[in-house]
Parts: sequence; C-alpha cells; structure tokens
Amino acid sequence: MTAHSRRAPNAGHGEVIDRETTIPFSFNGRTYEGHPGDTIASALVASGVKVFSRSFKYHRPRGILTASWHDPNLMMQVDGEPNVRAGHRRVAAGMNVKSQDTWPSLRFDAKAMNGKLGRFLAPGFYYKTFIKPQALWPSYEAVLKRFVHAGSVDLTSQRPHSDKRYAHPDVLVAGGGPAGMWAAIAAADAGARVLLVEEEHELGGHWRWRGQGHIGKLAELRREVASKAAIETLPDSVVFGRYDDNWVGVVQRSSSGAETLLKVRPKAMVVAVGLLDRPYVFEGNDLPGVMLGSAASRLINLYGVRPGERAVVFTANGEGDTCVADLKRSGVDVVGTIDARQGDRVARATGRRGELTAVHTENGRVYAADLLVVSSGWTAPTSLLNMGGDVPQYDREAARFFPGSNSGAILATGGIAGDGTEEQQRRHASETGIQAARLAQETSQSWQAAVPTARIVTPSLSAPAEQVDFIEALPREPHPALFRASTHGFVDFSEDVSSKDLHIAVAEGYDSAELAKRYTTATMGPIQGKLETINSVAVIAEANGATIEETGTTVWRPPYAPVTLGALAGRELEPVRRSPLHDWHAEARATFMVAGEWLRPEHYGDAQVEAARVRQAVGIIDVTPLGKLDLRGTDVPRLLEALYVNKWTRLEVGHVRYGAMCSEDGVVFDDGVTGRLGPDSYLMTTTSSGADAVHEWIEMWLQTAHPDWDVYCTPVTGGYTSINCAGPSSRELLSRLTDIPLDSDEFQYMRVRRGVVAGVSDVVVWRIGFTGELSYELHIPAGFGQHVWDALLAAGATLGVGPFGVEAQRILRLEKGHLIVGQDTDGLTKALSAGLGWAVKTDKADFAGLPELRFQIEDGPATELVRLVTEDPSIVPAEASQLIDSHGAIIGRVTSSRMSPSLNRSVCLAQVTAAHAIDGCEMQIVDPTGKHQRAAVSLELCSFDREGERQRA
Amino acid sequence: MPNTDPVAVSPLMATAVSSRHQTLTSATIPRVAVIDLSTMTKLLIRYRRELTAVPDAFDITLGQSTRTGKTLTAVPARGHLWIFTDDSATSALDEARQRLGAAERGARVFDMSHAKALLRLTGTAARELMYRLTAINLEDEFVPDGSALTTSVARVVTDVIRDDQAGERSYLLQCDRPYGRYLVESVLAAGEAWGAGFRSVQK
Repeated sequence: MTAHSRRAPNAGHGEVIDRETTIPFSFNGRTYEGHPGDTIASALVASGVKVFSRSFKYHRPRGILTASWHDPNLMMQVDGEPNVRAGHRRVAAGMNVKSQDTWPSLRFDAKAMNGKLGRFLAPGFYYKTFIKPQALWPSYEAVLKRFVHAGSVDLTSQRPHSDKRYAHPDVLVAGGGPAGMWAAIAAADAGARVLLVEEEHELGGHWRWRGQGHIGKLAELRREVASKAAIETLPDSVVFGRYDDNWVGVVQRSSSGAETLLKVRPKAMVVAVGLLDRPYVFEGNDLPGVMLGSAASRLINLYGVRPGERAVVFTANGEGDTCVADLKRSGVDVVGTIDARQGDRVARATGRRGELTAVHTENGRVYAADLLVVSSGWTAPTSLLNMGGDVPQYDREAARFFPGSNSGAILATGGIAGDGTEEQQRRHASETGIQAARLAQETSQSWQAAVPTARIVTPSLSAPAEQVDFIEALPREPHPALFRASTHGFVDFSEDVSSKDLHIAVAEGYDSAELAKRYTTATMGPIQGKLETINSVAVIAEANGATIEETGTTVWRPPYAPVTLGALAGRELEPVRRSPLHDWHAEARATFMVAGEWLRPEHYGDAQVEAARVRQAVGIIDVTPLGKLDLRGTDVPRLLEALYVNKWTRLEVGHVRYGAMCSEDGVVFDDGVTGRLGPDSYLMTTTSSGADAVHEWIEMWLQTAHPDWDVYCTPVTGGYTSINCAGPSSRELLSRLTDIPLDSDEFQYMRVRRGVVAGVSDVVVWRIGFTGELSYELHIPAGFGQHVWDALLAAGATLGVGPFGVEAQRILRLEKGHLIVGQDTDGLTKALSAGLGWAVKTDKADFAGLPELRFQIEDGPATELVRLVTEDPSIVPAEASQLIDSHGAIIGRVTSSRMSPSLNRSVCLAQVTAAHAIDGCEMQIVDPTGKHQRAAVSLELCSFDREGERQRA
Repeated sequence: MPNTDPVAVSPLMATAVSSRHQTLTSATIPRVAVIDLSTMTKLLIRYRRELTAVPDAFDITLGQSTRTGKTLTAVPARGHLWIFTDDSATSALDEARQRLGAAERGARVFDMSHAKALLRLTGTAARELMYRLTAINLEDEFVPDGSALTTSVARVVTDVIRDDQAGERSYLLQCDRPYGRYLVESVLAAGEAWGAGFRSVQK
C-alpha cells in the first residue's frame, strides 16, 4: 500500500479534509501522510493500515470498529501522551504515533500467546487463580502489572497544562446533533443562556456523514446556532457526568491534548446525545475488517477513505442501506448484502493472519470479503439521564432502551427519545428547548429570591417562553431484535469479554446483570458500556431464559467517558502566605520552608551561627506567621477562661500571659500568649499553623455556646508584621528606636506596651521569651514592617545584630525546654503529658477539657514529656526515633532534637511512658537506620539558664 | 532614631508581582486589568446580626454595596460592614462613628487597612476570568453591580464587590494581606488568555 492508496477519488458528502495539503507523521516508526482534517485513524486507513491495536486480554489484532472517540480499538500512544483516541484526534505534522502494549511489534505480539490459553482465562480467572496462597500476591501483582493494557506516561515530555473553569448557563444541551441544535436555538430564542456541548469536532451529529441531502441543511443550522449570542458552543467536549443538584462535569479537549474541566451548574439540561451503532455478536466479530455502519460512512464521507475493497453489508435498517450506497459511490465492491429484515443473519467471520477474508451467513452462504459492515441496531446512551435518577425502559418492538420518564430539570430529545420524521424530531427538540428554558426561568427566579446579592427578582428570560405544557412523544419505529448470532463472539471489545464468558458467569450463579458485569468486567472498560451494555444484557437474559425487560440494565455512573487525572487536577491553586518581609528574606538568600501555608525563612545559611548570635548579642526574627486574633468586648475574660486551662480573670491591662488550650478530650491543640491592651481589648497569639483552627474554635464558642457574650473576635494575623528582637543587647537595640521605657522596672517580663517604634505609631510591644533571652516582640502595622526591620538592622549594626530563622529559634527554644504544640505533642497528648500540668487549674469552674484532665490527674498521665540526655553528646538523634527499654519494648519516641551551640551537645525532648519518666532512667534510642544509642531521662526540661535570669534581665 | 519617615508598603507592590505578567501603563487597555488598591483605608464594623441599626445607619443591607463619592460601603457577610476610602484612617474612623451614632454601642470599629490586600479586576473579560477561580454564579441577575459577597477565589477567602467602572464590569477583591500576592498572581495567571496586566498604585 502507498500513501492515500485508499483515498477515494470523489470527495465525500461532508468531507472535512484539505486534499491540497499533506501532513507527514509516523506510526510505529514508519512515515505516513494525512491531510489536515484527517483523524489519525482515517489517515492510516487511507494508507491501507488495517490493524491498529491488540486487544486487552488475548492480544488479538484489532481494526476499526466505530472510527470515533469511542472506538475501543483505537487507543494509541501519541508522543508522550497515552490512550489517545485515534478515531478522534486529528493528525498533526511530526506526530509520533505508536500502538500500545505490543511487543515486539503490533503485527507479531508475543502476548498473543494469551489467546492460545484462552480456555484457561475464563471469567473469574484472577479471583480463582491468585487468591491463594495470599503470601504470593505481591509476586502475582508484579507480573500482572506487566499486562496492564494502557500506554505509558512519558514524564520527560512537555504536556500543556490543564485548566478548569466554572459555567452557569440557564440550559446545558448535551449533544450537538440536529436535535441538540434545534433545542439550543429554541431555548436561546426563549431568552435562555445556552451551553451546547458536542463531542465531535463540529456540530451536526450523524447529519455530517449521512449523505448529500443533509449537508445543506446542516450548514444552515450551524449558521443559525452561530448567530445566537446566547449560545456558547463547546465542540470537542463531552458531558461526562451529572451529579447532585444538576452539577454537571464537562471536559473540553483540544488537539494538543490539553484539557479544560468545566464545572457547570445549569438550571436545566437537555440530553440530545443521539444513538450509537451497536455491534452484533458473532464468531470473528472482532476481526480487522469488521466495522459498524457509521464507521464506514464516516470514513467515506468525512475523510474520503475507502474502508475496504470487497464489502459485505449486514443491514437491518435504513442506515445500513445508506451505507451500501456510500460504499458503492466510494468505489468499494459490495459483494453481498445480508438483510436482517428478510430473515438473513451473519453467522461468523473468518480471516487469515488476523484480517477478515470471508463472511458466513446463517443460511450457509459464504462471501469472500475484506470488509464486513454491520448495521444491526442502536444503543441509546441514556447514562446522563440515569445519573439524574431515570430508569431506562426496554421497548421490545424497537429493540432498544428509552428514557423512563423525564425527571425534574433533565429532558431528553433526539434519537435517544424516539424516531419519527425530521419534522417530528425538529418539533420535539424545539419544544424541549423551550421547556428547558422555562424550567430554567423558574429555577432562576427561586434562586434570585433567596440570594441577598440579587436586588430585584426579575425573569432571566428576555422574552416570555412559549408555554409548552405537553410535548408530544416521538414515535418508535420497529426494529429487528439483533444481538447474537448462533455463534459466540465478543460482547465487550475493551475487556475481551465474549458471550460465552457471560454464559459461564450465569452458569456459575452470577445471574443478575450487576453480578455478571463485575464477575466478567463486561461494560467496565474505557468505553463504559456504550457499545456493550445492551448486548451484555441480551446475552445474560438469553443465558437465564429471561427477557431483556426482566433482566434490566446495570447502573450507569459517572464518568460517561474517561477523564484524565490532569483534567480533574486543573489549574494549580495552592495558596501560600507571605510576610511583608518576604522579599528581604529572599534577597538575603534565606532558605524557605512551608509552615501552615506560610513561606518562612528556615535559615540564612547557618542556623548554629544565628542561634549563637542571639545568645551572645542580638538577633531579629520574622514571626509574622504567629496567629493573631483581636478580641474585644466586656466578656473576653470569660471567653479566655473557657478556652485556656489556666486563669485569666485577673489579667491586668498591660500584662501578657501564656496559655494552653485543650479540646474537649483534654488534648492540647494550641498555645500562645495573650495580652490585655485595654479594658475591653485583647490581642491573642496562637501557633502559626493553628491560627485558623483557634479562630473557628472561638467562633464555635461565641456562636453556639455563648451568643450572649459581648465578644468580637477578628483575625488580624496579616495586619501586623511581627518581629522578635532577642538577645542580651535587644534592650539596647530597641532603645535606639523608641521612647517606650524599657528598663526592667518600667517594662517587666510578660508585660505589653504600645508606642512609636522607628517612627511608626501603634506598635504593640510585649516582653516575652520563647528563646530564653531578653526579648521584645514587636507587632507593627503590616505595611510599615519593612521600615522597622530595616531600622532594627541599621540601628543594631554596632551591636552585631543579624536575622535568625525558624531553625535557630527551634534550637534556642529547645535549650530552654519550651514545647511546640504538634511537634512535642500529637493528636492524643493531653495537657499533663505535654508538661503543662503546672498550668492546669482544676479549681476553675469550667474550661474546655476540664473533665478529661481531672481524669488524667486522677489516673496519672500515660506518657510524659521529658528531656533526653544522650550518653554521647555529639549524637543528635533523628526526630521520631523510637525509644526502647532493656527488653526491647518500645517506651517512647524522640519529639525534638538539635545540636546546641551554647551547650556544645545535643538537646532533645521525648515522650516516654510514665513508668520511664524517672530522672536517670536509661534507655536506648533506635535511629531510622536501626542503630542504637544510649540515653537517660531528665525531668528538668530546661538545659540553659534554668533560673530564667537572662529573659528576666 | 531613624531619619527616614516610615512608608507603608502594599503587599502587591509591582516589583513583588512576578515579572511574568504585563505591567500596565495608562495607555495599556487589555480586556482585563488588575489594579492594586491595597493602600486604601479599610474599616471594618462588626455587629451582631440583630443590630439592624448598624447597616441601616449606612443605608445598606447584606449582600449590597453603595458608593458615595470615593467611599464604598459594603456588607459582603452577615455582621461585617466594610468601608473603603481614600481618606485617612483617622478621619474615616471619626466619620464612621459619627454615622453610627447610637448604634455604635452594639458594634466595634476596626481599622483593617494593614490587614487586607485589595485589588480591582476590571474589563470586559473580568467575569470570565473570575470563572477560572471561583464557583460562584456571577451572572447579572445574581450578582449585579453593587453586590457584595464573601466566597472562595483561588481557594482563598475573598470579599468580592461588584463595582462597575464607567459601565464596564469591575470587581473589588479583598483577602487577608499575606495571601495578597498569591491571589494577584493567580488572577494574572488565569487572565493570560486575555492579556491581563497589573498596575500598582502606591500611596
């Protein structure tokens, strides 16, 4: 075969290719040509390619079946993208197309050996074979993973990123065929905003390839749609699911592989997805060369391609008859027509070297042919209706399923709803569109009445919708009930499930459609039952000796069509918080860490040097991420009493106090200091990552437990740039920038002042000491933060001031034995186990966690926070290392561990069982590599300046 | 004491916003523009929901905004009345308290100027851009000019105020200051298809 050897000389009716231009691309390493507008599949067929893939289980050669996005045999690897639908993706210059999971080649696939073992790979093979011995499952899994039938993701390839958007049309029309377009136009004329979603590249549905008579009408209909400003058309897109409250998912595809996920909330939906050709089950029905009538018509009319040389057509309807005409016009020799309406049937297809060579009929005739076109009936893809609660009903006369009843704001029209003349179809679709617009209007009005932003309840429809109280149902044309021949063949082409497999499943007791589906995996492949469901149900009914009505269908669930994980992920939206000093830190080459969405400087090169500077001179750290809540009102003390384990009623103006919060189960969940700035004004600080949780906790108290309290809680974390100035020279440094009296008599430890710092008014200064040094924490109106930071560095140059990061702060606090909630505690650590027993005041009337803490006091804590002293001072055990006793029993874990530059040895905190929380108790630290180190317990958590003289200086 | 006067810095300084995005000049008119208004004075009046005298004093109700000259008042969430103005915080506070009158006894007034980032998203594509970042239905019948609401934009809690400019669709977006740069970067990234650009206003 040569390039375009199968290209018909006459243009098809509705041809979409540009014959004047050629595009080179490769398939399995060989160069081919296509025309702009060609799909990968049509271009390959034009060059004589018949085999495109290998099947899922038996690796049987497969050719074109539907020539559309839903073709189970046309999933290919294109450049770095797996599972590209070659029946839909248009060919592009330089495209590198490969068949998937074929080795060593598509033509000679070693895994085709599975076909020889077919009788051993019966339904339930995996369940029966790999269930025992269970211990071998990991080995089985490793082997089975090699048989996964999908492409591979090339992590090195550059993929366009996926996007996401929301849409709020009045009416969503799923399906851009003639019925969908009529419905969209009618809805738009009634004043509705319409989103028209079409899976193909262009609007038109089957009119695009159903002959010259439709082409002119289609062009006119497309023009009318395009002229409606109220219609947004989304071609190359699919409605993949309908969820609660009419939440509808749409994926918009593109030729580059990029996808956009639309989260659509229409007020009404019209399902006009049309009908799909359904395959016929017979021996050899998967041979390359056997295809559906719509596939042949698409290839001929859209792409000008002859799908074969000698064809047999198995027809049961007018579409099949039209296909005969298409084949003849394109130059295919139609050697036989098997007309089901005359009682004739296909019995089997046979082939050589994996390609069709002969077609056998039930009455004994044999045709030599390389193409068998099957038009044996329709499948109604009712899944979107079913997702809305509709139960499809089988019509024996028409031999297909129909919607049970229109439910709520989901309406059906077009082929899925019935047959009839073009005029009947047009009227039904238009009335459905108007009905949808009216439903949307009613919904809109009820929403407007409920939404405070909507000022006046006005109709959303610009013109009063024509009242459509009753839509006359479409007629249903009788059709032969054709599902399976006298022979067995494939029912599910995606999963290699045959009619024989379904009979076996029923014989083994899996006699309902739902059970047989799961046992055989029929309808569970990438096509999601669109081609397989009705045949599966028919075969299961046959095996049970039941009718299709009695058997019913399986449940349709989203997605209607596969959606990539990239599309679901969409645009990357990961909020981060930045301090007003962020740029300064970046310029100072800080190494950043993420903590509670904050980007914080972990260090500026050497945390040990930074920690030593604080101990010896003065350092400044950006503590803006500290949670800050403005509390105002006369009842704030009552709130604080309820939240904290310690007492707050006597906190005086100008004082600051440390507090720990527990949840109702007594577990510590946050801590911090709160200062009283005025009679009814307090500033609470929380941990950086706990600020939002504390705010919610407070609002829970205020809104549900005590709405009677006069307290307003306002988060102001971002309103202040917070800087801690720590070290023996911190007083001297700050005195150079403020008139606030700083002498220890005037401004004692745990006090707060407000004043001017570096010319900035309203700076809140409190004297606290997380680092154990004389230190002042400045809370500066955020916009002036950089100014004050710069001023501190400039004024402190002669004092040796420098910045320090979170890592240095952690070293310093560890030397002091100060705990960090979440680091030295976990989700089960109650107050006494966190070393906070001193703070718990059980003589308070009540506070969150009090009953549980009383129990803990009575029973004693199960674990305790202790200092761990390693025998070798140079050993810095990894955090989370386990602690074991002399018998090897686990007795605790290391919670914090650092090397102390001040002590020249490691400093650690640990949680140990109460039985081992004894001064001098020896134990072993087991590091992550399994190495053991000796250590002993100290109940004195503080290692540095135990009397606290430095911070109180 | 330092010899330089303190200067308040916006969280959305043009130099801070990624250079990937277009910086607008007065001559640049893209389909959508982002303008930094963070240096405006922002007052928050908190009140209990039953205290209708507070919003009544400003002739406003939940979900609405009103503009008087260069001052915008909005109630995007129950019990949260915001005042945005170019006036100084001191004079704005005085005026707010005066207007509250007796109603102030049940309310608290906060100067949140430093706590929030504020930007204006304006242009013909503003709504389409917003649909890249928020699930809220912004169609005219639900969110007309003069609406105010609190919702999630780019996964950040944001006050959204529809404040059209000379007949052109425009939204004010206000979030906690630390999220400001992230939010503006997200808006600009979502608006690349419309040539979204950024303009900083420094006070």
